Amino acid sequence: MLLRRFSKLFLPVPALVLVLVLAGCASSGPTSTSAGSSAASGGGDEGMPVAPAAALTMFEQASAIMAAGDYLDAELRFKEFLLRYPAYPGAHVNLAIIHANNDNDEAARESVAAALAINPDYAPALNQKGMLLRRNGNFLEAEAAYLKAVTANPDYALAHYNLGVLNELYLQRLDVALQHFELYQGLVGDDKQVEKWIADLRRRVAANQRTANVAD
Amino acid sequence: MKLTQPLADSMKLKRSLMEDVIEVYTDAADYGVAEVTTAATFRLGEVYQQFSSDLYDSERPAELDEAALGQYELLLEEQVFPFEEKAIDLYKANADRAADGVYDEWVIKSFERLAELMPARYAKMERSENVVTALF
Repeated sequence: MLLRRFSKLFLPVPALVLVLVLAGCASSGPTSTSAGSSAASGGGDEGMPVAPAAALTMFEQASAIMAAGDYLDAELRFKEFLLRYPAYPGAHVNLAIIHANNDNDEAARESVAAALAINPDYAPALNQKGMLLRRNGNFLEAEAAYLKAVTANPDYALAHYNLGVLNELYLQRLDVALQHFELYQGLVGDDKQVEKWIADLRRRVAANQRTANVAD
Repeated sequence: MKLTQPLADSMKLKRSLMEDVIEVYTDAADYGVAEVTTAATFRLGEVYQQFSSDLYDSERPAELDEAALGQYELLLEEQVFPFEEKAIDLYKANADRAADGVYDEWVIKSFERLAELMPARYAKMERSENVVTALF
């Protein structure tokens, strides 16, 4: 789906393989895994974005530095990257993550907005947007952002997880929280902590149901 | 104020002081202004949490052997439990206000306390990629 947004651009087969490998392998979390599968399913004869080798190298280096925890260096590198290649939302989202980590929500919001200006359906940016909105108490807007992320990419597990947290703790919709934690678990397969939360939520939802039945 | 032996005397004085504070905060909690209510509710929770913590950390009788000390601590835990539960109930009352759109610093602090006291239920932070490794 994401790749359709770049349909004006075409990639030679070796470069396409490289993009798919990077999308599928370079990620550290469920999101990247899902991004990889999305890229694969959206493949075939559709257009692919052009990612110059120099851009890929620069992005990979900045990502590795960020993964190693050197946010200061990574921030400078992503900013430099975006001066040369401004149309890649992944770099904007990484800046948003860095800013949010530094408690600079305003800058994080600007980076998220920049990513969404390139691709309004970019799930990692929508997930960051939801997190920032929740932190400010805008729970319903946060929910809308997360829901847009899972609508755009149903395999994007992190937004289901965050919808679980939002609905359980902040909106007190335990049944909805349960559904999203179950969807998350279905996508990632084996999260022992979430498994315990699901068991707890099932008990509480059933108890609420019994109470409601007695009241009726 | 540290609770020392004899515990009954020490607790009596502490509870008396605590009840004065509780009365003030309870009045404030009923004030009808959201931020005053959430602040007073949080402070009330703190009073009970501090009391339970002080009780748990109170001076142990010197003359007890190991077995008797074990029994004493079990009894102490039973005494501590209702105060900790009361603190949790107050923090929960604040946290529940989030669903009604009240999310001030006291509600946020209440969530933080609940995450410490009931981590299995409340220590749930949103998750994000550590780093996005795909360009788009």
